[in-house]
Amino acid sequence: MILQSPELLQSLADIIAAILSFLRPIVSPMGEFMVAWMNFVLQYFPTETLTIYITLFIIIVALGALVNTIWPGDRPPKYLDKLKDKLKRKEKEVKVKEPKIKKKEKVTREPEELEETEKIVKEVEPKKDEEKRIERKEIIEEEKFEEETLEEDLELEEDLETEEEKESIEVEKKAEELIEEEKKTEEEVEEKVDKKLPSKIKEEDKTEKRIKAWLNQVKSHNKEKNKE
Amino acid sequence: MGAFPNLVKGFIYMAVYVVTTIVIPFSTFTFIKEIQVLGVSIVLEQLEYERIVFWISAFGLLISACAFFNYSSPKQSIRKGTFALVQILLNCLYIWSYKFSGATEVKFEIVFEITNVGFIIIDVQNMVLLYMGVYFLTIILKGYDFVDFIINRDKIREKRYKIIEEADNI
Repeated sequence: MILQSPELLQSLADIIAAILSFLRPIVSPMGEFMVAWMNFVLQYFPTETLTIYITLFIIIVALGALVNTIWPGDRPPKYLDKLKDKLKRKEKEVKVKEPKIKKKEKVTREPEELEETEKIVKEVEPKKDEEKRIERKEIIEEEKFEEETLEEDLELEEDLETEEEKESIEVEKKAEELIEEEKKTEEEVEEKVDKKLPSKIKEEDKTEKRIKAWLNQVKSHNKEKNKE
Repeated sequence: MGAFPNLVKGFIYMAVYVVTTIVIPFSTFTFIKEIQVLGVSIVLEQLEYERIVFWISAFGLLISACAFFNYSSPKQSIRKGTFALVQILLNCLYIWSYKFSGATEVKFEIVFEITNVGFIIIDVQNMVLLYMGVYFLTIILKGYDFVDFIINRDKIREKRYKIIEEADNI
């Protein structure tokens, strides 16, 4: 069948020849180089029996199966895990050691720092004490002041009460004095009445009544104040 | 991928290479050993027929074994790169073995009713040279991959394990 269609074959052969002739200057030198090294290598390949190749085949397949089952590439190999564990441990150790180093540094600085702090404390402490004393004094003074003001208020209240009483007493005294004076005047008037006219006596009675009414008013007024 | 899928993949590719490098060439050469065209038997006048078969089966076995190792290895691993390169080199030798065994100049004798009429010689040397050139380029590519896998080994590993860890986390 193939040989019966020479035209098709001819056309195929022409296409292949065209491709080959186009690629020959590029690819053929490469091919020649390949041929050179392969000729060299093939000298050392055994040509008598296939047993060597069969054993090689079995070895490679077995080795491939073994290696790729042990290290399938899914997870990092064990030695890497160990390394990671070691690294983690070291990191932890370093983290634990770090504060110790800081403590050491602090210890080395301690004497200097202590001196400085002591100085500062010495300078600051009396100030603080003074401030506290002042504060206490102020508080005590404030308390005292408050107490005094309270007492004063109380005294004032008391005083006010006493003054009012005094005023009332004075008023009463004055009233009494006035009454005495009135009595005296009455006596004098009586003495004079015996000597003077009855019209004049009537006028004197009126004035007496007025004074009495005024005295009554003053008394009632004082009483109301005391009640308040 | 896990170990088992990798091995399955390796076995599949090995089977493919066994078929393409051993079974098909062997059957082809056996078939054309004695072929009749229009009653005229064209006998493969190859004293080296056995030699051809020998080289085909020898390099075919090696190529198939390397294919198994190559395709069952994890991606971008150095062993994969190594065996890919070895496989290409063996492929070159395999193809060249045709020439070495005399298969590039296949000589057919035309026999008509016991008498020998003449012979046909098919010279495929140019074709083989072309193949060799193509394989040369492939070797360069595989060599580059191999070097890349070695140089960027840590990066490739980090990437791979990151992807796996992310997948585990999901």
